[in-house]
Amino acid sequence: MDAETAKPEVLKHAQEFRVPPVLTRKLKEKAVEWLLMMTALASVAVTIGIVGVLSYESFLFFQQVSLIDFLTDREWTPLFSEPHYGILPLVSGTVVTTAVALVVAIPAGSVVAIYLSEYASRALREAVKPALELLSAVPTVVYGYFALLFVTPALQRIWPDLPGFNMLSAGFVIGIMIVPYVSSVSEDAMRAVPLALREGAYALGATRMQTALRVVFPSALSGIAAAYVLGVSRAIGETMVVAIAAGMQPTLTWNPLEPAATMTAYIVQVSLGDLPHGSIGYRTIFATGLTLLLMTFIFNLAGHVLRKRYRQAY
Amino acid sequence: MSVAVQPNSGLKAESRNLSFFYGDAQALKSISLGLPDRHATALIGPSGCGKTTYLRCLNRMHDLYPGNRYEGELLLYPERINLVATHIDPIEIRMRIGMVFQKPNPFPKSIYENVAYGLRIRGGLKRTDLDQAVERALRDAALWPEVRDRLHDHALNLSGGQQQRLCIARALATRPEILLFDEPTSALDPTATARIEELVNDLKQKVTIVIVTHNMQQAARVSDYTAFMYEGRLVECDRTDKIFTNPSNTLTEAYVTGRFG
Amino acid sequence: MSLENAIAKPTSCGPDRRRLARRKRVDVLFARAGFLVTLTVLSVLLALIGQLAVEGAGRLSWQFLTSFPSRFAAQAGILSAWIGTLLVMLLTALVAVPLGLGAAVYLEEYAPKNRLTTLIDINIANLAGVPSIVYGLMALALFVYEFRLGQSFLTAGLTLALLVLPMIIIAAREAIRAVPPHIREAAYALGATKWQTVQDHVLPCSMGGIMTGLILALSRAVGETAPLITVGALSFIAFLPHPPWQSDFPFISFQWMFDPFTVMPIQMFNWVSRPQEEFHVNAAAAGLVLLFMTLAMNALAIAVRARFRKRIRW
Repeated sequence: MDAETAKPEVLKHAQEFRVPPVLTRKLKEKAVEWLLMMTALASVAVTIGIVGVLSYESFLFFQQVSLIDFLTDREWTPLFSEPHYGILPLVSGTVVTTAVALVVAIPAGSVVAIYLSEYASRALREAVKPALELLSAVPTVVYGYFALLFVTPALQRIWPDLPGFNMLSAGFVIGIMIVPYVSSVSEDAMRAVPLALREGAYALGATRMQTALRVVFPSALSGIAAAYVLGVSRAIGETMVVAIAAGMQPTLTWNPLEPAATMTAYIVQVSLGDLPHGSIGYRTIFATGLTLLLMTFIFNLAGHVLRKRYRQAY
Repeated sequence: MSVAVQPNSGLKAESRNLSFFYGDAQALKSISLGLPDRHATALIGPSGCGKTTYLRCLNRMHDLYPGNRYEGELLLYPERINLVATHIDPIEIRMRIGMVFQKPNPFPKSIYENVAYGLRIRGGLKRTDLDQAVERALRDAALWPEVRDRLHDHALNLSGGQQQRLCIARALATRPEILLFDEPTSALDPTATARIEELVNDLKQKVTIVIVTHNMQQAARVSDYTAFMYEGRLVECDRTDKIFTNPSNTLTEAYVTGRFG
Repeated sequence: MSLENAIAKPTSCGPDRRRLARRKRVDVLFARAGFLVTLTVLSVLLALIGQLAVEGAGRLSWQFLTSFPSRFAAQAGILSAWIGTLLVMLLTALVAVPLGLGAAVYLEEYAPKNRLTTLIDINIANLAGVPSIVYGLMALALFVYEFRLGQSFLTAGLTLALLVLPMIIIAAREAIRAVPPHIREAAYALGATKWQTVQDHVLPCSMGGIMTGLILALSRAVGETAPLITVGALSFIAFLPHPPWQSDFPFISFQWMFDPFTVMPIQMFNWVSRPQEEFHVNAAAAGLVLLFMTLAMNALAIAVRARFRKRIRW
């Protein structure tokens, strides 16, 4: 130690540096904390806003239309001179397109997930995953274009009677759109299955497929179920693909080869037009929106619960 | 059960029946221990005995995590402030009591910025004063010759031992009255360990030091007083040479002779 | 039984050998099927990009980028649309970044673990799953009518900001959580206050993850159509908004925020909805530009993430 520090100097109390007075420091810290808390509460405000707006306008709507009619009438023609306010046609449109989407997304998504997690080499996985991310980054309006102008004509070569607007093309494209989502959540769930379980199966002489289908898949089941359920929610909420490719005619039909309107497409249709603020026609979009919100909320809740279960399983 | 021999020199800090609770679990049971001014006191004991818990009471690090509770007193001299009183601001305490951690944890910034940080948050220093304070701290930590030409290099480019000395310099820059060491060499190789121990021996003439160590030989090498703890209690505290050659308590003797722990 | 016979040798046994061979064949088949399905899904992506390119690439030109929409497809362009997108993105970022970052910092560093915090957590997870058109409904009732902001850039920016807010909060929280506790402890041990620790250490170290999340959220907002239709984007805007500057004090003008607006995806939607072939070509070209914008932002996010990963080490 050189001469400067050789003598044992008594270190003075740290107050030799100008420490900011305690009170201003504490006030500043409190102010920052409150400001940040306000921003966190903003998210709560959004929920209140959404629920509040939908409930309020729907409440006004249901003062003029009975709930029974809303749920059971088989026609949705709010803008006719003799209006009908049955939500079933819109719900049927949503259900059919979602079903078609799931028929595509669930098998494809699961197979892709199993393949990537159990079979594919690391190089292949590194190449495929960004491509899948790309698939989910494409804007939905572009998918709508694709459904109308590529998929429908392609399908029309198989079924020449297929109308230009139909739920099959729309559903198919929505399915492709949510495959990356289903596969990535499923893959997460499968990767969480401990290696030890897999090794146990291999050690007994099982092939990769048997291990994947009989050991990994069942163990990851709640996570995979979460993937499916969240996929359903995404498909229900999809708007642009159906607005462009499925048509905007509310029809109560369960045949995917026909055009129909979903709840989301109806809201778009009304928004494109000119409805006076406060009219019953204006309010129909909020009643529809509330139905939509309730449906997606139930699936989101289920998916969340399932996801928590698989995360805690290990 | 605790036999604490009060040292001859004045105390810098003293705990009186200090207890600490993690939630409902009591980790420290009524510890009364004096920490002599400008000497080094070592805390030894088997894993889980509470020595690190006690150390972290001294600078109120437990306050960072919810659900903890202090009982008793922890007095800082000469003002006789009770460090664990709820009305005492932990930030004030940490400006007077510094800490060096088990694993070197320099900030991912330059060497200069690491040492200067404690001074910057107090504010009001001119650039030249800052430079001087940084150099003085690095000299005190026996690191200056090695870094004087690369003060603005990234701190994580240093070796493990150098990083730990950087952390010591960082703590020294603010001229603390007490410097707490939490097993400072357990992550370092023998050469680096030796340098840190030499540093502690030099520093203890200027700063009160409390060092937690699971290495009894280290305690014997660097400390003036040693406190042996077991299961949250203080078993014995005395001059280091006495603890290791002729302890009063049979439990202490069993520990220092290696019969358990 | 002698020792040699005691150990079964399946390969010498007829039916066992056949079964094993069959299991292996099935396994190989499954691997091939998995590969094929993955390839098929990715080929849809290729078909989509291909379709856009084939139809629209020829239409891309300086004229296209700098003309306003028009009744004549050959003269129509996306000038008002892409400027609109830029301006809306600017407003979205200005609102979403402080709210999102503030909420993330509060929830990770300040919030006590009590019921209110859990509620906010659940709430944010929920909001992430709400269909985007519902945000449009809320914005229509609240921003357009209740707050009298009209069908303007300001409304559009606010709507999208609230839409991407959950994404930003979730990404920022993950980035903040990744900062190891020993850095925080070192700062606190020196006497730093909570805000000093956050400002000087936590935020700089998590900036990479935060920026990545931000860019990805904004790239998602670029492609959003449905909520903006609901809020009243026009698709025939043949003029630019007021400029953000003015000749007298204070030299900045906020007039443009209250002007009617349009964005790229809405322009594409409008063109794709027309029956004429020429407008479909325009839609394809607009889709290419939109896709390019989205992909560029995604690539930027990946580059930012890679760069920060190299710089920050602990």
